[in-house]
Amino acid sequence: MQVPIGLVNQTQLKDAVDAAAKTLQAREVRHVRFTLGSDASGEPSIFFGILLTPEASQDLRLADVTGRVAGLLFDQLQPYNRWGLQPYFNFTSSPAHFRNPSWI
Amino acid sequence: MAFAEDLLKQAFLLLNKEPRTPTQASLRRSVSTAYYALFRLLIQDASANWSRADTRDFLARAFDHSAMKNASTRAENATYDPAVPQPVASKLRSVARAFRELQFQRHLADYSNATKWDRVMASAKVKQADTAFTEWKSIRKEFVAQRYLVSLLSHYKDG
Repeated sequence: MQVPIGLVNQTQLKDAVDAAAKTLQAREVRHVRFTLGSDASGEPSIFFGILLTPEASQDLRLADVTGRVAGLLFDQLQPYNRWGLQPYFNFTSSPAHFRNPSWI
Repeated sequence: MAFAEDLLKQAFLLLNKEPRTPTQASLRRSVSTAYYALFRLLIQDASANWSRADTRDFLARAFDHSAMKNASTRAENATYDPAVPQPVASKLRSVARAFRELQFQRHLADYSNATKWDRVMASAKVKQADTAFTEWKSIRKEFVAQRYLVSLLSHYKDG
């Protein structure tokens, strides 16, 4: 199922993302933002930018945290089945990197 | 199997090549290599089902990135039969997601100068590949995993 991005209700999507983000643990995730666009195949996509806390970014914890956070957002939002969007998850611990509009 | 494992090790070596200030070249190549590690792992397992060992390398050349992405999207978003143990379905979805995401990240790493990588961003992707290796090895003999391998090669139809 692919839905042109213009047909996605972005207000509803933002509300859904905000609600899902609130379920993430504050000691691991500081902020979640997203942009809509196309992936390399031209498929409508949602690109998540996720700012982790320094604690969650530690090398020994990173795989667990990023896998769990992406899994939770995926399960709650069902980006492809509910919105027709391919989800991509990007993580950083740098606030400057996170704020950079071209990061994700 | 060894080649895929070696590629994954190489991805980690590149990721940690400059401990203090990693170069964009090392981070980008680490992500690209992590994708190819998973790509090779799945192709090798799929090809290993071919009974003629001396033609497996030719079969491996038949796999297509785009078809594999489409198959992974289906596996990631499928509703599995309740008889499939939940942990198996969960791991298969995770592997399929890793493949699909890493394929796109590989594209960015190799071609996009606009995307700036930091170590956490790159490390998350390399570790995603590493996790996918572990998860795949624990489910590779399951029917749904084998069906996924078939779907990577063909225009799969249910039923």
